[in-house]
Amino acid sequence: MEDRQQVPMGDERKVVSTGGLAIDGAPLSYIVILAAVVTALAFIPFSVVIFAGGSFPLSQAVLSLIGWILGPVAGAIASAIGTLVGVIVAPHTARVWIVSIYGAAMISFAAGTMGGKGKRRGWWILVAAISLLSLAGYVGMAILANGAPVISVALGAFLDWSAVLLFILPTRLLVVRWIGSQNVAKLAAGLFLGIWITYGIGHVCQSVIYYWIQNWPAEVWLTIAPIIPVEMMVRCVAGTIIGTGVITGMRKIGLVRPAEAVY
Amino acid sequence: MGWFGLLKPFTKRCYLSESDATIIRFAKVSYQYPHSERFALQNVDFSIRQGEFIGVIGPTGAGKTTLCLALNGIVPQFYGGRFFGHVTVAGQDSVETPVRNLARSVGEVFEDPETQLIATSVENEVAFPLENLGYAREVIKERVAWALRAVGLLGLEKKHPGSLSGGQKQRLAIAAAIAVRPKVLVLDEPTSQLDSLGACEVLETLVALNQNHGVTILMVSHSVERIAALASRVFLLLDGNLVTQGTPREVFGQSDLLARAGLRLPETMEVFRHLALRGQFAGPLPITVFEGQAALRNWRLKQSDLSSQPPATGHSDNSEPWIDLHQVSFRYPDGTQALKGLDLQVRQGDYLLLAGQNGAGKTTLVKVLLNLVRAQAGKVMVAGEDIRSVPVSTLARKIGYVGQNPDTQIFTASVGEEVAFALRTLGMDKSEIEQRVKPGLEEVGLGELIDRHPFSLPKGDRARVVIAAVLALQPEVIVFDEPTIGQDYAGARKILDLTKKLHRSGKTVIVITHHLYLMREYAQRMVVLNDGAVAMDGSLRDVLAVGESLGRFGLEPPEAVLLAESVRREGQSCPILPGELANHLVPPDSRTA
Amino acid sequence: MAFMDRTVQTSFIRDLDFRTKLVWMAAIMTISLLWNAPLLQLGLFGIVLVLSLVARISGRYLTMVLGFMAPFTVFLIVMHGLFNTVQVQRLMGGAELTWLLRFPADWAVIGGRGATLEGLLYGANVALKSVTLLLVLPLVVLTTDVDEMLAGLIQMRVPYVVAFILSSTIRFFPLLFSEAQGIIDAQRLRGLAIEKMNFLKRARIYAGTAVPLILSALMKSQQLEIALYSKAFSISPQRSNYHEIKFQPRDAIVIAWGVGTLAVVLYLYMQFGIGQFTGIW
Repeated sequence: MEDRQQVPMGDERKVVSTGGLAIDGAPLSYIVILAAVVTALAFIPFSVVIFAGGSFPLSQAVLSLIGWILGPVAGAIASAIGTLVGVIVAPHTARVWIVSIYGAAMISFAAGTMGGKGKRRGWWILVAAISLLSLAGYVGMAILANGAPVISVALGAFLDWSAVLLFILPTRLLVVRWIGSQNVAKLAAGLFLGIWITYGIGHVCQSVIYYWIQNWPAEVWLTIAPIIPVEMMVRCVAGTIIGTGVITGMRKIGLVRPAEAVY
Repeated sequence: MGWFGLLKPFTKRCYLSESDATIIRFAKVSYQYPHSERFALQNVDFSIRQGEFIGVIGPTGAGKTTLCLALNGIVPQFYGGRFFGHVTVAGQDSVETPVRNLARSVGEVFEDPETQLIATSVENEVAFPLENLGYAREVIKERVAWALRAVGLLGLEKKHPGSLSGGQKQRLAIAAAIAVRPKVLVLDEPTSQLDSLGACEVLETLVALNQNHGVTILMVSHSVERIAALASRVFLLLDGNLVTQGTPREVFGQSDLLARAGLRLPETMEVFRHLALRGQFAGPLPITVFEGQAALRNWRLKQSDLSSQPPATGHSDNSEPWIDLHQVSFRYPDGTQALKGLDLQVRQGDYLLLAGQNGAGKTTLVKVLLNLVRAQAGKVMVAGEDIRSVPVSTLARKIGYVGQNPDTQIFTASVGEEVAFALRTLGMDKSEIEQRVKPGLEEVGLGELIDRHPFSLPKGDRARVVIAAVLALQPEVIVFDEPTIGQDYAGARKILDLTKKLHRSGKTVIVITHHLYLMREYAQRMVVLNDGAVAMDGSLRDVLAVGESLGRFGLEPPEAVLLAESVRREGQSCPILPGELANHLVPPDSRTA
Repeated sequence: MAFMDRTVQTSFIRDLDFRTKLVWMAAIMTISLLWNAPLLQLGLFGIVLVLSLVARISGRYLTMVLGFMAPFTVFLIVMHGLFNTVQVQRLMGGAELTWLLRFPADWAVIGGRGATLEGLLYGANVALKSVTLLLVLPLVVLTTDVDEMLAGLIQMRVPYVVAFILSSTIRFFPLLFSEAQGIIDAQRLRGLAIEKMNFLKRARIYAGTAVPLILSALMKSQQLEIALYSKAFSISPQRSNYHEIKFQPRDAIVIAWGVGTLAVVLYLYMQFGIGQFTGIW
């Protein structure tokens, strides 16, 4: 069919583009869709939780990714609402629902603050402060109130303190650089490390509350010491597989990149 | 009553208002999307009067969707880009008036029912635009009831949209669009994803809105027969240009133009065009089946045995069935009895068309055949083996399945990887896989796209990626589930030509579709499912020859068959193709037998 | 999914305003978190259970939830019973613990350890607390229409956009869930023998399912956005609400009762230590 391109005969109009509906630079439709993804994946059990039985859902592997895609505010909203809906639909799947939602929001928020630019450069400090306080409360209760040996707590809370430490150190900037890289190996490494860090921050923020409620004795710390890192590795692997596929896919398909995205 | 009842009384298209009130004006409109060199619309110029029913046709990429979005300001306000000319709707300029305000005058309904329904219940969906525009609660309540009554969904207020049928979903989208009582309703392919009954429900609603409430309608559709029957005027778009407009007879009368655009004529018109070329018919060509039936009064069919003409069954009836379902029954956990003692045999080398309305059991039949679900009664044998003990993944090497939605069948990051996925499951090594991937893609015309991400391709190409990936397993039987949905005529033929190629290479092909008119040059055999059992099973010709009676199974026979039925006598073979029918029609004054 | 078309059973609790139920939920959760006395926790758990039955929450559902929690609660009781001596003793002001079972001191690892009555009671307290905190949510969510929940949030001045995202998530997640199932089925139909795979490989497959799910969902999101625009949606607060919930006189009474109960509990806890862990009580 011949090309029928013509010269426009009408007057050119001044177009003021409204752009899309957005929250904090992230398309509202992305937030809705990713919140729905979190809810949907909450019903797909991914792995067995060795500590205390049950299984953990696939949604836990995407919470950090949502923060890196949507940014801290939009990411936290999407993760929180997705988790909330999951809890509304199946209330029995949350231990303490408000803590689950808080944890999900913290994971995404922490992830989103890692790449803060301009006025947001200092947002990570807020996350660091909250997680440090939580860590202090968590280990403080264990050692001071329950007499748990320091070494046991150090081993049992390895995920938590390592995550907070790595978040505070410039490692978080390295993670952001790797996630923004076009090199797939670096992207994967950045995702793996980033998920460890952000999930660990979410974990400590939740654990301080769960510990206050459930107060497990000193001996339990040694029991959980080998278990939690193993579970966490599984989450990191799953999250890396998903994150690598999604980020490379978004780049290749040419999907709109939210303003606060780090990839 | 269905589709046919819809057409019968619609003999005169009249404006509800006889005034010259122009409701839409497109004045030399051109539009270029951001980052695009081409113009999606080029100097489009037309006016639409209040109460008109406009049909818009054109091949994929012609600019139909852009035209629809220009009417409510989304083009250009949402996308940006370069805009030339003026679009005025109900006195409002579409560039200067915010989209939110234009939404009071223009309701839009889109092709995909899922992504345009946003609320948690039917009533909330209808209330949503009214809430957005700040209507008072009492008014919202009244409008919700009015809109649901207008589309026939009263009583379903509390239902979740996800639990509605396709036709109900689109009617709900229409209800939401008309709740603000817009002057104009724009529908972009509203029935392309629906079966015949669903489409009929939607079109009946539109006719009622136009005739009873004076709503101006602009509808994009690939179905030229429906446009011919319903529209007061037709616009033909090609490469962003409005190349012609006029009454359906005027537009469809330009057969050369339509051919250049890759479009077909309404089938009735096609038949009479053949007759006219032969000098057997003079005067304006009928464009609807009812006009055609009226014009064929006193005509008759030649005595001729068409049973040996294609499509005839191509295998010996004595061969052992390759697929044998015997008295298969299946009930879902919610109690729905989807299959009831179903018997079906498929032989090697068959090309089978499986048809039936939604709920007839087609999807369940396929799930049982693929062993995704287990029948509670009966036996399913494939290649002489009871499939109950065969894992799904093993059976997949015998029966390939290409589903309706390609996006749920794409798992990898490149087209090549997608084909390699199945080869890996066969245990092939890397070099063997590399050798097989490119030829596999070339077979479906995607050889150059090996490194592309599947999701970066248009939908039609994504469907072909899935076909290539399924074919990699070299199954004996391939099931295509609604492969032509959402495709224009050229796109649908491309996919069906591929099925023909596979059939000629010795594969057994099963196509599930309600687009019966497309299948006449492909399928040899037709099975109609109804209420969980086989209602009809025979050669495609014999089953289609039943004609209007297929309506009781929710199926829409091709117009050529309906025309033939009006002149056929008992015992006569039934032509099923337009050219075939024209060859067999005998005018009233002819003495030929 | 069944949740979407569920019918909320009529009951006194169902008829209460959503906000009233939230106040009660907050009160029950606060009390449960505050108390460490096993018998009081048992009483509170019993009250929540009775309220659930009064609210006509299905017995099957309650059995499912309790069954789901059973291993965890047993674990909590045993863990505290066997290991929690330091903290329990501190809570009891250094009092001697009642040993129910004690392993000989010369046994390796577990020598000198055993089960204490107080430990078991403390474990029971924690277990009951966990179950109460879990059960109180269905008491609100399963007795409230989704429309009323959203209306309640809006009337509580939660930003409309948050309520909108919540509502849209409820709308879309069943679609995505069934697409996820479809993706897994499609992989099996492409020859992938998931059922024969070990845990690690299967986990990898499930993880891979999320990628096309997310990508195709994001691709559809632009159409969603266009549909929103076409329906005059904006993030501006200038909109009306179809659904509305109104306080009835009984809501005021019930809220006052809830707040009052919480106040009394706090007072008794702080003044007299009622609810603190002291062994049986």
